[in-house]
Amino acid sequence: MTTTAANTSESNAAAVADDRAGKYLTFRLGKEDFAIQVLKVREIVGIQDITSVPQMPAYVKGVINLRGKVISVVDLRLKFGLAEREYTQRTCIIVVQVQSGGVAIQTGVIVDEVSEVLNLVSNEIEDTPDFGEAVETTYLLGVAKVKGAVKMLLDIDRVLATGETMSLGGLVN
Amino acid sequence: MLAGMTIGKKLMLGCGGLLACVLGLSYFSLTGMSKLHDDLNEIGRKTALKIELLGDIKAGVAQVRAENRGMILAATMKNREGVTKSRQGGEEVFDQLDGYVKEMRPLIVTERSRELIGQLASNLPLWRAAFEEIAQAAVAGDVKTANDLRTNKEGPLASSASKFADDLLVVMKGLITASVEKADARASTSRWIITFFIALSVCAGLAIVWVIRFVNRELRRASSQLFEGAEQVTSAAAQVSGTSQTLAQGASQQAASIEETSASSEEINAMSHKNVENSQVAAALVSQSQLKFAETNQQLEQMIIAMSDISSSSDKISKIIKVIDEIAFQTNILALNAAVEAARAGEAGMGFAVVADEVRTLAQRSAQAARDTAPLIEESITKSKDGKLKVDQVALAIRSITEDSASVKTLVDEMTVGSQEQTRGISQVSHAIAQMQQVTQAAAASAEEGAAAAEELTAQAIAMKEVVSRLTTMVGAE
Repeated sequence: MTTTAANTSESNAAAVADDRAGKYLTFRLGKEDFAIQVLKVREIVGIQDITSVPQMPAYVKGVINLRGKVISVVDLRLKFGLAEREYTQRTCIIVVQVQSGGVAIQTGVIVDEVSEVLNLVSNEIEDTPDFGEAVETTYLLGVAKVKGAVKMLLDIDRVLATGETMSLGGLVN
Repeated sequence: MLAGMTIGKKLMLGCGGLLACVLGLSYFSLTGMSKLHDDLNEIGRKTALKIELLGDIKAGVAQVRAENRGMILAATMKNREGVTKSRQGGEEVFDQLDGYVKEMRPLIVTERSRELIGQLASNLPLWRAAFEEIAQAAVAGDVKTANDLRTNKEGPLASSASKFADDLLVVMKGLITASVEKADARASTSRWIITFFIALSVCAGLAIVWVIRFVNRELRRASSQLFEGAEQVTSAAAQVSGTSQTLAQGASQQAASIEETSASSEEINAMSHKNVENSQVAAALVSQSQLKFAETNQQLEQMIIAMSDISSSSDKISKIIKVIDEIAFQTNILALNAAVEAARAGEAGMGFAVVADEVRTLAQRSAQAARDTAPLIEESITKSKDGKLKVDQVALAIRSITEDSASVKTLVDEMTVGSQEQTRGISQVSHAIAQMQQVTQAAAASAEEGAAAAEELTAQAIAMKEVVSRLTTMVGAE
């Protein structure tokens, strides 16, 4: 089902809308709210000691031992080109399971704060607005309007698939 | 020399001179007259008497000769009766001659006259004896003897007696001539002296006239100056009168002011008394407040301790709240994980999802409550810190207030002493004002007396003007 959603053509809006509806885990980066599909999430843990690994990009903070399993940890702030911030008690690591080259791997994503699990219906979800060719928006599934606020729905597979630092451009201050 | 003398002295000098001249004149006139009188007396009484006596003596001598001749003639004619008669006549003449000589002796002044009278006096008894012999011869009738005796003995004696008398007469005449010459000389001297004194008197009179003219001139000048002076005195007296009245008014005004001042000083005195009392009360209050400050200090220290207790309790509460917050956070994560698990479970996890959501809500509420409490606690910590600071400041302030109140007490004590001194000073001032009042009243009285005196002075000046006008009339000035 997730695979279908990921491969969905953008032209078939109604079908996609149905695909995108479902439960999302929302979290914050800075002032912005983001959401990841719950089915991608394995678990949520508080921030813990990260063993840094040499020769890695800056956004890869290192690895952690999650109940005997070593997984890599990516700082989503650095990944999105935001200013690095010292970790607090609120800082969490969301362990997601992404498809990388047909293999499901678990990766930790460091976010500022985990908010809640939301059930989004299709009429709450809109397509990503067009920012022009210069701006890459393919890692977004869309945007959701919840209680007057906008939450960006991340395609976490795509976010973690690219080896570069992504630019949120005008989306994030 | 004259200029330095008073008019009285000048006049006295002139009059004295005149009097001296008159006295001198009188003296010399009287003495001259007296001497002339003496001379005249000498001539008129003594010398004339002596000449008369000499004439009598000569007559006597002649009569004795005549009696002698008559006796001899009677003897010749044997006329015994005639002889006796002539003899008696001759003896009477001899007695008369003795009397004349006796009378003349005290009148004699010159040596020559005394000698001559002595010779005459010694001649007379001899002559009488001779006459007696002749008389006895004549009685006996012995004419020849009588004639011889007359010729030889009695004749020369008679002649010498006559000669003595003549010589005396010559001497007397010489005396008269001398007296006349002497009187002439004396009269001449007296005339000169009198003339001199008259001249002196005239001089003295002239001097007096000069003095009087001088005095008159001076008096005239003095009277005109006196008149001017009297005028000036009149105007000055008027001014003095006005001034004195003004002074009297001023003095009474001053007296009124001084009375007001006196009243004010009484008020000030009362105020300063009150000040003394108030400052004593203030001193007592300051002492009480010092005690209260000490108590306050203690209470403040207790309060500081209490606040630090509050602070430490708040710290503990803060820690507990952090723990609660952490637990809430962990619970939230657990709930989220449960929600994720429930979502994975699909339809089977629906009920579990609801529970997870409830748990999450509770966790969020407790987190929210902890979050809400935290700032309050933080605030209370901050405030208790602030309060501690402020209480420290207050303690400091109260400590300095305590010190200040000690110095305030000193000041208030000094104020008390000062007020007491002020009271004393003000009572002295009151005393001085009372004296001033007396003095001012005396001054007012004096000024009124001065005004009266000035009026009297005016009257006196007017009287003086009258006197001056009389004097002016007297000396004949303008």
